[in-house]
Amino acid sequence: MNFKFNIHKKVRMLVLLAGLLSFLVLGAIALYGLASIRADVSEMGTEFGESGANYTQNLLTKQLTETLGALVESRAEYINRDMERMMQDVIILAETMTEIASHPQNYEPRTLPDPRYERIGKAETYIIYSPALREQGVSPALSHEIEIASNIRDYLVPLAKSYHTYKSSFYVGSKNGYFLCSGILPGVDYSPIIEEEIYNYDPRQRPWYQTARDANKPLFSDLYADIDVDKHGIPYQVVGCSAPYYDADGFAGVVGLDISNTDMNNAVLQTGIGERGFSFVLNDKGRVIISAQKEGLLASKEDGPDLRHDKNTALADTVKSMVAGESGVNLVKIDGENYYIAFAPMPSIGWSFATLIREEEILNSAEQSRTYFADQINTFQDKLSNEYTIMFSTAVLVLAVLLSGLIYFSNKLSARFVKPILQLSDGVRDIAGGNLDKKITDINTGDEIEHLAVCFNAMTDELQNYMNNLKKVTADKERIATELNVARDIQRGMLPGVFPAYPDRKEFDIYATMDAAKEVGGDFYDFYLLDEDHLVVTIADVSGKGIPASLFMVISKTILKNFSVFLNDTKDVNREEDFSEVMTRANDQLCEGNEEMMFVTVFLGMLDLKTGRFVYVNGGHNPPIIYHHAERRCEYLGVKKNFVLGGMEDMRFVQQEIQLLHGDLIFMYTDGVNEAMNENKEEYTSERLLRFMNQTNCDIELKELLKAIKADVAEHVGEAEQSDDMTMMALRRN
Amino acid sequence: MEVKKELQGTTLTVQISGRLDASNAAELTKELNTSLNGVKDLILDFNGLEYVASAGLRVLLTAQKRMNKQGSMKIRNVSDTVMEVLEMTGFADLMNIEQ
Repeated sequence: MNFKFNIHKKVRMLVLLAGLLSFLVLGAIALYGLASIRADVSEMGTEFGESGANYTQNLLTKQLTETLGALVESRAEYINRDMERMMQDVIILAETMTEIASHPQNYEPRTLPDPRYERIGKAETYIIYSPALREQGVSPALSHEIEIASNIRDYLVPLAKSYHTYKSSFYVGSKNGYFLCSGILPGVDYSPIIEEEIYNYDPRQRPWYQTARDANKPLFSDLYADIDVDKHGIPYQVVGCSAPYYDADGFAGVVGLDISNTDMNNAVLQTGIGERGFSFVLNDKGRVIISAQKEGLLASKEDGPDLRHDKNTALADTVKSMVAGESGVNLVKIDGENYYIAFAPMPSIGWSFATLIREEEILNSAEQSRTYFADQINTFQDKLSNEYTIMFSTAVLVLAVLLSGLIYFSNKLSARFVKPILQLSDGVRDIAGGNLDKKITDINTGDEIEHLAVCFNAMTDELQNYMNNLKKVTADKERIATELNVARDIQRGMLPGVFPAYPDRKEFDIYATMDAAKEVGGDFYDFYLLDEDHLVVTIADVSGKGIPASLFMVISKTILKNFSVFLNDTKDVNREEDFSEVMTRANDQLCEGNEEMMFVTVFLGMLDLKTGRFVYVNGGHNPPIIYHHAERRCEYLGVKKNFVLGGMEDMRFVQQEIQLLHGDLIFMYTDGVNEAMNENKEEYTSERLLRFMNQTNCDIELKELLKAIKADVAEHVGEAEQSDDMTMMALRRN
Repeated sequence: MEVKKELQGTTLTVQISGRLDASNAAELTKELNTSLNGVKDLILDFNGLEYVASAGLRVLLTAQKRMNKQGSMKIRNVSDTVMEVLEMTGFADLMNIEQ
């Protein structure tokens, strides 16, 4: 379960980490971007608002002044056009009058109404006789002239009617003192004429007459008080335009028309901008002719001052520009307040039109737009802040949703990931439990785990095969081992194994043991009586191990015994003196057909039980130890180094002899004793063997003595496995 | 056991070290069987050889017998322990041992 938890957890952590990391990185970048955008926008907004407001203010001021200029120019043009129309009308009037006066024969005499006697209808032409004329009396010629001139009525009446929205008059003043006139008073269907006009009016004394006569061309007069009155009977100021006319003798009089300057004011007044803005018209002499101002410096007054010389130099300079026919926009201070004054020329009459607007109002507008702008920016910032908050909350929400999603999916994923592993581990546990038929089949992940499962199945198959083979091999081995055991038993059975071997012989004791190693070996010992007095002992070790060694051992033992017996019975061989002949012959016999180069080391000895003479031949074997009972001392038996048996043909073996006293003993052994190894691969050694035997009591029972020696060897060997046969044999002469 | 062989002309030097016993005697036999063709002088260098078991002696004997036919065999650098075995078994008399 620990395993499952780990992988499970790891996968989950991995998925979580990967997901979270990428999300956090993206989120952090997004939030950082957002925050910096927010900061930037905030900063930019403030800056933008400030500069925008400033810019707007400047732009607005500029635009307003430009608009003002344009407006003023169009207004000037408009008024100019009105004035031009007036001028045109006057010129036509003058030409018509000149036509009538120059060709009186073309016209029928007519009579016009006289306001002294009758009420005059609207726009109706009437006649006024100046006091001077009335005084001198009207001559018939003059009367005829008046009657002819009266034909102008057909022109004056329609002209007057065309001006029916203005308080206006249209008239002809003759150099002879009569005055023909049509008047319009809007909203009134008659012409109100005051007594003053009827009885005291002499056109030749009026400014419009004199200026036109003196100039001898059409012109606009300055502002003057008209003789006409409004419906309340109050005279009003007019702007007039007059032109001379001629008869056959030259100058004959002046025609003219005038319009109330307040009517013209309407047009001017309309062009006022702002609460206290206003407009005015300036004539070519620096005087205000028409003005929306009722009072103050810029109000229109008869005989008003020439503003070019005003002490307000800014105003004076502007007025100079205006008189010079220029257009422009200036800033002036009037009555303690700053005004933008925009002006444009009216070229037909040489006058100038001006509009004023308080600077404060422009500034107010600019300030308003600035405030508006700042408000917009603030709103934008607020909106942005809201958006940011919403976005941040959304991000947090998305993170939460994503996180739970990630946890859910990573759980699922890791579970899915781990499931086949669990299946695999269950299967493997089953197999480990010994069920080799178990197959892991239900893993179809298509990845390494499935591959692992396939490998596991293959391994199980292999394991099964191996087990089957092992069973077979084990069975075979078992059989061979059994056979080997039988062989070993047979081999052992060939050695004399019953002790005491000769219970009825008191002259000697003999005892032997063989501890076989696991594998069947080639050690053997043998002893037998040739006759009553001669005992032969053999100890031998066949080279190598196993079946070949044991077979060779059987052969060697048989051959050696055969030759001992055979030579003992051969007449011309001395049993004791020619004892080595046994070895020589046995060697030759063993060499025959010995392709495998097997050989055997042999110690062969023969004891004369009567005399104690011990004759021996050593064929490459370990020298035995002799115990001298009298001295209680052991030593190695001196042996000639004869060659082993079976190795080389025609070898000569040298025999030796020694006298055994009573109590002496010969201890024979194979190299399994002195070469017995402990776990450190250290040999027991022949030195230690001799030392041990010198330290121990060698007079005890042979069986006990051998047991003691074996115990010492075992002590040396310890836990190590016995590697070679260990054979010991002891012979004591009693 | 470790075996190193060096062939110079017809002289083969075989260096044997470690323990030569029943477990590896067959291996050495095989080595020598395949290498002795055409060799006139076989030198067995026992420098580093700690122990010779009887099975090992058999290999020496086989080699000696073969070299008796095709040339000569010499053993050198024999340690005291091994010499003891060779002397005891009579091999020392039979073989050319350089001391």
